Amino acid sequence: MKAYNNSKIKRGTTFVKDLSYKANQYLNAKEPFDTKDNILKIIPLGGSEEIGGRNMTVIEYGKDIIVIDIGMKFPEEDQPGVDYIIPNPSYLKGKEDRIRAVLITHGHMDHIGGVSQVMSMIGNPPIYAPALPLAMMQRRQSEFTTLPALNGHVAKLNEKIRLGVFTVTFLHINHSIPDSTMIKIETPEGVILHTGDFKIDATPVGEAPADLEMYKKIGDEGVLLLLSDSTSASKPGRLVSEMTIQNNIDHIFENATGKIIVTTFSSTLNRIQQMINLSEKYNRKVVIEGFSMKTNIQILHEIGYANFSPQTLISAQEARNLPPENLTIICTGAQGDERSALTRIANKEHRNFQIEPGDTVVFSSSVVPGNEESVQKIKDSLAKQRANIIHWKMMEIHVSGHAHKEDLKQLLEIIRPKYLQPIYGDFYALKSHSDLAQEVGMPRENILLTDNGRVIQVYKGEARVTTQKVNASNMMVDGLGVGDLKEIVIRDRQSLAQDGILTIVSLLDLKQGKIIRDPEIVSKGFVHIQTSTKLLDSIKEKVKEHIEKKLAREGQDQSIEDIQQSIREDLGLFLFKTTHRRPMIIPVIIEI
Amino acid sequence: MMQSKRFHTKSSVRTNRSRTQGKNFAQKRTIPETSRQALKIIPLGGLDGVGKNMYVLEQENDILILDMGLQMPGINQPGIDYLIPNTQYLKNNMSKIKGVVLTSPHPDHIGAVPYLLHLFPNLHIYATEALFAILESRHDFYSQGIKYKKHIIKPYNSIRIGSFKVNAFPAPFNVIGAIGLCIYTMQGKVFYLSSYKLDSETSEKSEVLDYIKDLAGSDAFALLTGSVASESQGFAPTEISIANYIDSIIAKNTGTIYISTFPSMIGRMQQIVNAVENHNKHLFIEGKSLLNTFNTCRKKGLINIKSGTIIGPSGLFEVPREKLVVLIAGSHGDDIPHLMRLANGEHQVFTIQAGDIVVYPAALIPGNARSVARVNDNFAKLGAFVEYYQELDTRYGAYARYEDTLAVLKAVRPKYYIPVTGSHHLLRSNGDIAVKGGYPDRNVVVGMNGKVILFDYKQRRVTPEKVQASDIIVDGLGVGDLTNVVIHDRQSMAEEGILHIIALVDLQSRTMLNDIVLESKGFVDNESSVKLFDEIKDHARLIISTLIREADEVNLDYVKSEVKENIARLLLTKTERRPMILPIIINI
Repeated sequence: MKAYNNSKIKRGTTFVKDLSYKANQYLNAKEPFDTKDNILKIIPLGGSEEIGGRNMTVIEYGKDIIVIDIGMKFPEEDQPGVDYIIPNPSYLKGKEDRIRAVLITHGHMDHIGGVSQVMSMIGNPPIYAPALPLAMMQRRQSEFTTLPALNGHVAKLNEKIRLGVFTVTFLHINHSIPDSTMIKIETPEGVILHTGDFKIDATPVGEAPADLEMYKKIGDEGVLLLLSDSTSASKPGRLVSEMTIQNNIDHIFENATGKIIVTTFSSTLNRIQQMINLSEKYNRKVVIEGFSMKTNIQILHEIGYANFSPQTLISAQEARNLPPENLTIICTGAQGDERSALTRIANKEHRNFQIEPGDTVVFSSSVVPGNEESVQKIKDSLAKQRANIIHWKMMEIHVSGHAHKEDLKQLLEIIRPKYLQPIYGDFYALKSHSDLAQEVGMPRENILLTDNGRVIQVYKGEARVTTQKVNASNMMVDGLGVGDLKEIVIRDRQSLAQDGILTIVSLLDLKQGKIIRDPEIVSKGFVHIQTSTKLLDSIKEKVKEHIEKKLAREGQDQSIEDIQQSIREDLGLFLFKTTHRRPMIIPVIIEI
Repeated sequence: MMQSKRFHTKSSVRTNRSRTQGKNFAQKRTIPETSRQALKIIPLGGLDGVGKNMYVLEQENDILILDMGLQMPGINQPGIDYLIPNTQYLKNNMSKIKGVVLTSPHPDHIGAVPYLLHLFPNLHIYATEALFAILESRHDFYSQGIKYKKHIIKPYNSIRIGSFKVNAFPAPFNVIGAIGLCIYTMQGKVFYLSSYKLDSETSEKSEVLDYIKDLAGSDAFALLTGSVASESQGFAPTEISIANYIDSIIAKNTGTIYISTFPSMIGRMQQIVNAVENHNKHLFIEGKSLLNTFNTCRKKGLINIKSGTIIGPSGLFEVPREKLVVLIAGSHGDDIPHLMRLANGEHQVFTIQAGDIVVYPAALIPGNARSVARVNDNFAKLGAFVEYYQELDTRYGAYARYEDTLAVLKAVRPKYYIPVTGSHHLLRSNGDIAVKGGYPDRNVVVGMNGKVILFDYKQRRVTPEKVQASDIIVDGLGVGDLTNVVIHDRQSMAEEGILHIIALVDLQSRTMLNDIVLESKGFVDNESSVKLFDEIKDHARLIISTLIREADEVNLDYVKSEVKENIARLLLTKTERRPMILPIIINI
């Protein structure tokens, strides 16, 4: 049967070419300063030109180094089977004794997730963080029994900490988790302000708004360089306030008749507390489902951050006796991950809960790009059980923790830095940030666009994006191995997923130049073996013929590799002609 | 499928018994006896995602098919080209098929036509002239020797197809050639409007709505409407607002403008042409299927364009950069994906320069939102400004939203409301529009692919009857030969890779010959894992040699499964990975 031939078009992300070899050109990189003097260096080891990921920034002056955040990133769909990815600290190798401290802005995994593995690679220096992220890191560290304990210090807000030539201060800012901070770093070249993740919200829920007057004062005193969150720089307008969200969710709670199931990220602790408070208001008890979410709530309690009554939280067993209108379940699974509580509830695999008609399911989170399909599936099975589904596209029930375009402009106008370095986000986001900064009057040459590993230099008040780069490649964690997965392994996995694999084992009698027996064929993911005997027979014939011809024509003294290569080419062509598929072909030749 | 077959035989046995014994035995689960006026609506595709629309209407000895679409694969179906609806039921009832009506020129309504014409040669196809123009400009049926009977439908006219009378009206939709249907069945009037929008910010003063209202009268029986955007509030954006937006982009003078659209969106092309002419610019079309469709439609008078607006390759470099608009093909159809080449800086003719503007609907990028982000990223790196406007997407801009749906529902006022086209939660939220409008739950039918919806004596009758509706997978030259096993293998290899263990044994002397050969792909880095590989070899050698030495009668399948199990355990403890393990043991 004749059909379309679009096999040239690769689906998924593989068709997009990596343009990073042109980076010097599109980043406007210049030669490094030619001087022996001390230079202030800022090196993003992760988090520039990538989304949601492994944030880590190194700041260096003379003999002193400080590190801001060590995050982790979840793999993309073209990195199948990888557990997660952490920043590569190889630049810091041999400089361990110069690292004065690691500073953590807040407790999200893309800012603390790499701490466990990376700290032991960089000599376990002191680590400063606000109380909540510190407690979260220590909890996580205790899960890795082989790693040493963290040398942790609680960073108090607005208190100066001296670290070599640097003086740092943690400042309160709003985000989606308590204890989010910006870090002010006084250096010999001037003041650097690192925003971490942030948003501007005059009416947040459950915490104080950021003190914009204080930030204005910092701006008045002069800021050399602002490293600012670009995650949502391409989104127009201003971010919706948490108060609006609060009102909308209140409305949902008010009208719900059955039980309410809320799903969100396990780390958006502000939202989770908000849901618990609303449940208290409407006389509902709360069950927290999902390991990471439970752990986070427990930590909140331990450090005294919880603003709800401990009686509100009940166990799943206790909840079974409650009428549905008195129950809220807050659970993980907003991204449709297979093992999450919501997925199990939706698939009727949950031990304690199932959907009954009239239940309300609130998706209080955006969908991380790439997860659309799994979220869709969950919604389908929830709808089949007649749950009312409310998600963020229908109503404002979720707002991200990242400032939008107009908010970012506002921050620039408050701080008025000499230089801006957009951080966090792909190049599109960084460039959008650069564009909006130019709209408020910053000259293009004062905006420092970077990729990972790029060395930014500041010397005598002048900042430069240099052509110099340090190693910032991905460190992939897969199973027990950290960083032993090479790109080639990932590439193999990709092509296995496309058209499968075909292995042909042939036994070769080199003396007689003959094939012993028929070749053995094993194939996975290519065609259905049982129903394709004809094709397999013709492959066997083809291979046998090919090897014998080649031996007869070119004599005995050719290498096995040569024969393998020619089988691969010949058979590849044959299979493409007959099936229009390109399986990976592995010819194995055993000499006897 | 096996299960449902078994179910059928069982239930028919029960029916017999209940009749002979005169007992009302398990009445609920049997397939009801039907009168000769009964109507079956069988969705063969379209109810489990957006795509592969195909609905069968059957009464007595006549089958009428509505649409034949395809669906793009999801990310967990690696390496396959398309999905098309299952045709087993139609094959079994070939003689009943009276014809197919195509209602929209998008691939999710006509994409499976070439495949199905192979199975059902000389099929009667009914569609508008514009839709035939698009269909034929995309597939060269003539040279492939594919024949079918062509029947042109004119909106506001009626035709007879078998025992069905069909009235067509223009679906108020941004695609020229799209129609809605009113089908007169023995049960009553069935309306079918899969892809449509009102294209108006009010539901008053709509010519089409008035026509539908007249047709429906007071006794419309059923209404099938599309659900793609029924979660969205308000009205779908109007074509005028989209045209204004396109005009505002083409008005910009900072560089060349690259704009992309689907080859089936003729109305969109006209809007682009109008904007180009409005700003005295020139249009160049890059992409075979875009150009084919454009030319065909121009010849048939479906697109109006002044002479001199379009420039050919020769005039391309005489036009100043900022006066040039390039209509460029994305990845739909069998085109070269020019847009992606442009994003990769690999296009033969065009190179992005600073100040250029790129506008495209995200659905033209294969993959998901993540791939779109990467394409945007590349355009940014090349210096272009990417305008993102989601109304350009068919998904957001072209489908009925809450208010559109409600207006049609109010105009038709059917007895039964049947949401189609969409995954289950979309169907349900479409159904909820009717429920909120006062319909009782039992008159809103949210179906499943393959599940028969039966009407008799002007009532819905619940039936357990099911027909085959599993997807047919098109991959390379094969249609339907990929089983789930194969897809599953691809997935699991993509997760952790594959490891072959190849051993030669001599079963007569019960010894192992040669060394064990390992071939691994996508598991670990082969060069740096020599130690691990040696360990695997030792382990495998030990297992195989012990088993063939000590067994009374050697069963190679058993040896293989032992190797597989033991090595899997070894690898799990050593690496925490689970590659697919394939032992190959050859007896000489």
